[in-house]
Amino acid sequence: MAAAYLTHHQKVLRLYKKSLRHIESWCIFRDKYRFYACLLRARFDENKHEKDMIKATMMLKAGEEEFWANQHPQPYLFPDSPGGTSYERYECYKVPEWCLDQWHPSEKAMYPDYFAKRELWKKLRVQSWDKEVQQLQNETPADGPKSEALPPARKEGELPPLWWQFVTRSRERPM
Amino acid sequence: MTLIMHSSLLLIFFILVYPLLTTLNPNQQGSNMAGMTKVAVSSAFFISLLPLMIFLNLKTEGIITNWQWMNTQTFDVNISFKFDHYSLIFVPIALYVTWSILEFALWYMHSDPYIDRFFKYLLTFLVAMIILVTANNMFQLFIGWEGVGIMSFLLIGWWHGRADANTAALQAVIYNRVGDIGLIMTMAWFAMNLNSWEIQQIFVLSKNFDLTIPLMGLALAATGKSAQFGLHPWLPSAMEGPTPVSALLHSSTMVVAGIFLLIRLHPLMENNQLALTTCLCLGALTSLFTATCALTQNDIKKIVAFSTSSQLGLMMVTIGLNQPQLAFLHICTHAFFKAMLFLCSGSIIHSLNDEQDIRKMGGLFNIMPATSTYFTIGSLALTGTPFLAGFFSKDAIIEALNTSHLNAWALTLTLIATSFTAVYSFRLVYFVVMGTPRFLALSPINENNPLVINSIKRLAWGSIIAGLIITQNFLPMKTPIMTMPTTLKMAALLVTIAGLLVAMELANMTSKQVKVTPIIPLHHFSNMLGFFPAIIHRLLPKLKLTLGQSAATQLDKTWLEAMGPKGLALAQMTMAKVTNDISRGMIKTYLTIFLLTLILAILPVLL
Repeated sequence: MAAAYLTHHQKVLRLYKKSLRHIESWCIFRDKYRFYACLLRARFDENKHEKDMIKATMMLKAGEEEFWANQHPQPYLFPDSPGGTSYERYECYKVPEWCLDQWHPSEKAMYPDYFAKRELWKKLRVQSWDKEVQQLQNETPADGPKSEALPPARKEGELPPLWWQFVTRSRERPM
Repeated sequence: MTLIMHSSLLLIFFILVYPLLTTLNPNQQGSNMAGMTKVAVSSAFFISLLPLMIFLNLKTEGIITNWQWMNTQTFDVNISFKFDHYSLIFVPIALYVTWSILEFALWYMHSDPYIDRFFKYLLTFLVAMIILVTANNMFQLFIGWEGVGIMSFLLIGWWHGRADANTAALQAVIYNRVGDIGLIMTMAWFAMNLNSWEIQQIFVLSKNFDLTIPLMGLALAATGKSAQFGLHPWLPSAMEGPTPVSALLHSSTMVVAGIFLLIRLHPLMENNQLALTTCLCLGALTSLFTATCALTQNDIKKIVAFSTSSQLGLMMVTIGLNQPQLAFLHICTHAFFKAMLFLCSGSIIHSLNDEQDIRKMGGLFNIMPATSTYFTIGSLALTGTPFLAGFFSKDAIIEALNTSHLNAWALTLTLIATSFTAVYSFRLVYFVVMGTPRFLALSPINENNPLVINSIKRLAWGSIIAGLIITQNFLPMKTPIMTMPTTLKMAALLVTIAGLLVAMELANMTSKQVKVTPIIPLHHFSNMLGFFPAIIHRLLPKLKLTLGQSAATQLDKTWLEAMGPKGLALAQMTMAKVTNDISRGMIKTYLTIFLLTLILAILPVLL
């Protein structure tokens, strides 16, 4: 269950993954990386049965400091991940769906089936909007929502709240 | 003959501008702007060979003054083109390189919906660059200078949805602006003291002047545009743009504009020792610093960008040695192999699905043999392998450096930078081309597209034979020193081989990986670019904002508020509070104060 704090388990795992990725940035050849990754795993496994939380937290702190000292200044980032070379590269080509309404009638006439179906979808959206808002108002706790996750549709024949934004989102790689 | 030469040169202009004019047409349906641009540039290249042949044969140089633009009784601004040794050689080379790059861009950007706009921007850049190179007066040069700066901004920020691209474009513009201050100062000095912006008149009239101020301005302009140390961080950041942009602007043409300016106005610098020494030391420092930074970078484009910066430093050193023609030769040969390195990296990046990190490349020699061969040829030409293109210019520069009377510090730095060139080139080739693959084996990599292979092949031919062709056909204007000790003669080669051996040993050590991390301080200095951007990009804005804050509070706020109402109110409040606090409900204090004030009031009456 997601809460405001990280558990000790989550922190240790995050440190482990970070360290592995940075070892991968330092050790370029795969076999050498595998060797040092195994050594790291052995170091983590040695202490995994520690029951004393104070000692475990102190070991985690020492591990984080060692990570900070040995981290790679330019860690390997996948191109599509934040900070990578092609992250957000295609944002400028993502056009919102309401631009379709701005088309000239002669252009819309080139795709009659699509625009006819689009009218039906828009009618559906108008119909289900009040019910979606009602569902969200009912389900949100008094002091604000706990997370960004939207609830699914609860009743038979209803659509999940804010489904229009999800259905009409842009492609990951625009054409 | 001059008629043929001048008409063909003006024809080149019209051929290049025509596709731009077709974009003004409101009906853009079915326009093949991209293909038309490539054909325009290739035909312009072939036409530009005609004036080059005429120049080779007859040594004709020309100045065409077309239009008297803003002429007053005391000052003339014309549109005039100068076609001399420098521009007549540079224009065909620029057109050849651009032709190859446009053909490559047809493949690289084919899935981009705005490819026509991309080609329009590239063509506008080319026109601005040619205006810069053929300008006969400072105003026209400035038009071209600003033009290439703006096109650089638009092209680096091509993918404007990406925050880093916008930052990089802004960085390029701001750093170039700082350099432009120098150029504008120089133009103002010329206008005031020599009353002209025409280059011929400047050369004739400047004999008796102390030219330190305009020359320092020119050095600042070159520092900004050609990414010398101090104004260099924009060049590696400019790799945010698409690879054709990096190949055209930030390796062959735009970044040499600063050096070209210094070459054009070189007769002014010949007698001013301060300017020459500045160029020499700045160039040597740039060359070594950026070569150091290139040693540990992991992004293939950044390594080539730092390599460009290092070679620009070398060109600056050549200017400082009073050898403008050698600098120009290096510009020409460098254009070929650097553009080829960028195109090869673009081919590799596209084939690996936008993977730019060399830690995830490898073994490309078996999968993309042609590209990796051309990549290796480009790297060899860069390091100055004997008888490839880079050798003729680089070796001549190092020889001139070794045989002239100048400070040994610049000499040492340049030699170390030359060895570093070999080191990072070998590192690049080792990680990209050799060994076993480290990328996902899913994408079908092929080299079947003729657009890619023909363009890189043309540049490869250029990298191999351009140096030979240019040196065989053009006599040097300054006699090179022919006799020198064998060590000095072989210095460049020895230093490069030493660098290569060091690099091979380091690669061997990497493949053994005795410990996880290398020597941390050295690696971090090189990897974080000497911490220069990290410090300067935070320190300067902080200083400026602090200055603004202190000006706003200590000056404005004081005059508007504190001097008048608020200060008075504060003083009153303080005094009232003090007086109040002394006597809080204590009768004795009340009576004492009463007595004191009574005495004070009666005293003047008594006296």
